[in-house]
Amino acid sequence: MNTGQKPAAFTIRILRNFTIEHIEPALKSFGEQFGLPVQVQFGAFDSVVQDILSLPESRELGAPDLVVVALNLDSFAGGLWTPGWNMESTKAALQNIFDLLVKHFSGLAIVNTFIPSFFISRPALGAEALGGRPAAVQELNSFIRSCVASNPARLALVDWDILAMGLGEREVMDYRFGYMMKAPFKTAFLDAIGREIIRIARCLRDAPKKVLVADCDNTLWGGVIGEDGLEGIKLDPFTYPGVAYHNFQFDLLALREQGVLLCLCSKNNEADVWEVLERHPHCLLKREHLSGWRINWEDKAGNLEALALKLNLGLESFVFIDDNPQECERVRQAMPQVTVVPVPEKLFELPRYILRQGLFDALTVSHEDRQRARLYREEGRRVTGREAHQTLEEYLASLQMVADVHEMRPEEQARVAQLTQRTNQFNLTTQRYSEVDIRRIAADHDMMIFTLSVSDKFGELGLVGILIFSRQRQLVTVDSFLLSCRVIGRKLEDAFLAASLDRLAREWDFVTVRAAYQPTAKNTLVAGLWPAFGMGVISMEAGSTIFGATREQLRVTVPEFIRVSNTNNDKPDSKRTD
Amino acid sequence: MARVFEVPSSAISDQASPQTVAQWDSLRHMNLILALEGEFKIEFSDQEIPEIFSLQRIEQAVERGLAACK
Repeated sequence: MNTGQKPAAFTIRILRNFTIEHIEPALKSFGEQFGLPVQVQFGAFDSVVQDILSLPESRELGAPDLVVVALNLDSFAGGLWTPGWNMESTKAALQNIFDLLVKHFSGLAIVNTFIPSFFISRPALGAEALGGRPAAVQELNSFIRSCVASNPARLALVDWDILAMGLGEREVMDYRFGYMMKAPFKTAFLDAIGREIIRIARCLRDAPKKVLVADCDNTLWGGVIGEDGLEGIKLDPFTYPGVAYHNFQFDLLALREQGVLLCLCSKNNEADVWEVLERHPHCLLKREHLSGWRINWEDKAGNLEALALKLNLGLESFVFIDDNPQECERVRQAMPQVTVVPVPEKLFELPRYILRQGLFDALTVSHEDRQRARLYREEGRRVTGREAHQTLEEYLASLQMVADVHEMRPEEQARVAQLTQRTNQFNLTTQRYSEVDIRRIAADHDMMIFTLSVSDKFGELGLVGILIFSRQRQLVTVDSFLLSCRVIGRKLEDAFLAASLDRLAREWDFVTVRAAYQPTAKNTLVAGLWPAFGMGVISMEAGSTIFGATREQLRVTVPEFIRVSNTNNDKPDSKRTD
Repeated sequence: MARVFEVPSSAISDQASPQTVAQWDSLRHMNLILALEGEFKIEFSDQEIPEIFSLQRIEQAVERGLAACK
């Protein structure tokens, strides 16, 4: 992401109660495959609690980027079914580990469910299912899943239960080395665990893909609409291969629910495609689910570029799926940033195909994610509205924008962290923060986070801007300043900065303001921002330019066409008392 | 053996054992067992595994395994 330098290795520390060292090659090779060089450390054998307690406090002191606690039930809490084993003390021991992780490690920790029972010990007895080992494992696994679900910012799950069922006993259990060397799992199972760990690690480092662009003929449905007609194409959920396409469309809608924007790019007569979406009885995808489309006979690479421009998103956040190898190759060559996914030859693999690739993996789905597709539809209307207006100023005035600027509220932390991780273009310093980092900053008396939420006559745009300030005596430094690409070009940066400085002046007594521009491959848009606000260059430090100005020298005002409201400027807060 | 222990093959003498080869720990012993079993399509018995800690004993065990296959 950053300018050219090799990313530092991502450190994963595995705390465990069995021999798991042979997972290391899998972690390294999957890491490499996903562009995430990893370094793996192992805790001492069966000393999970002690190892959690002795985790270094910060990354500077050697804390890992990710902690994995790997627990095998057979040797946990005394061992299942040993005399004295009981469900409640096992749950308490698990709960204790989760609590300690949250308390002693500020990053994300991965835990696991337990492997299922692979054989039936007493055939034909319902009692086995009711009270035996399978039931115990199920109860513990439900308990673990709900513990993780209740703290998604700090705990993540690799669901061994599901992975083990997928592979089966022969690929999972190594009874020989399990008994002889306390290494109970085969390499195939450890590989599967390693892959899931890397999938999660990747979410911590990389921005997820945002847009899925699909071809139509033989991708959304079987056949060619222009030739086979509405009756001839295959999209019927009761016959093969129609059902494969039907289920694929179902996946698309599920992705849209997660905040992925759906677009079409097809060589077709536009009216033919709309006929399918509007009139085919089994077509799940409708026009209102789409954030953009280019249905014409032009080059697909150019069409993708046009879509990127329309959505104001970089091509590296695009995934393109097409059944035609030539089209796939053309896009791959013309725009290597786009992830190209060919429709699988075995059509029955098409459902879940995109989901399995993990391209759209994200650790949490925020309210904004769920609203995104709707927001982008409104953006489409805004752009259309633009053409009717003469000057930019008139157009912006016609939007009737209201900017809500306030100090970050606790419920906004997840969205704030997410924006710092995703925003590339309007981002002055490109500091990436986790939710934990954001909480730490919020608690710091010498730092302040302001958020910008915008609405206009078309609707809510949500939380779209962040400003983070820090202070040293009478000097205020702008740590981060970023706007979502949804609102670039609306002069909202002026309103946001002016209103925030205004608010800041009420809390802190400051004389000068310092701010940096840290250039990256994507943020040249804002290279001239600080000078435009009346700030002068002070120095160059490690690739970034440092600007400074006294409060009097700053030229930041709220544009006339933006109304600023602040909804909470009255909350008494201990950190305000200087 | 050299590949499993990540040492030059010259370091594996006839007298090689966990005492003389520092890399020969219990984990790599497991890897060695798996590599030999895969290579010769044999399976060591549970008595053999903790005993084959020298080149000579490995050879004997592999021969036993191959003979058992016939």
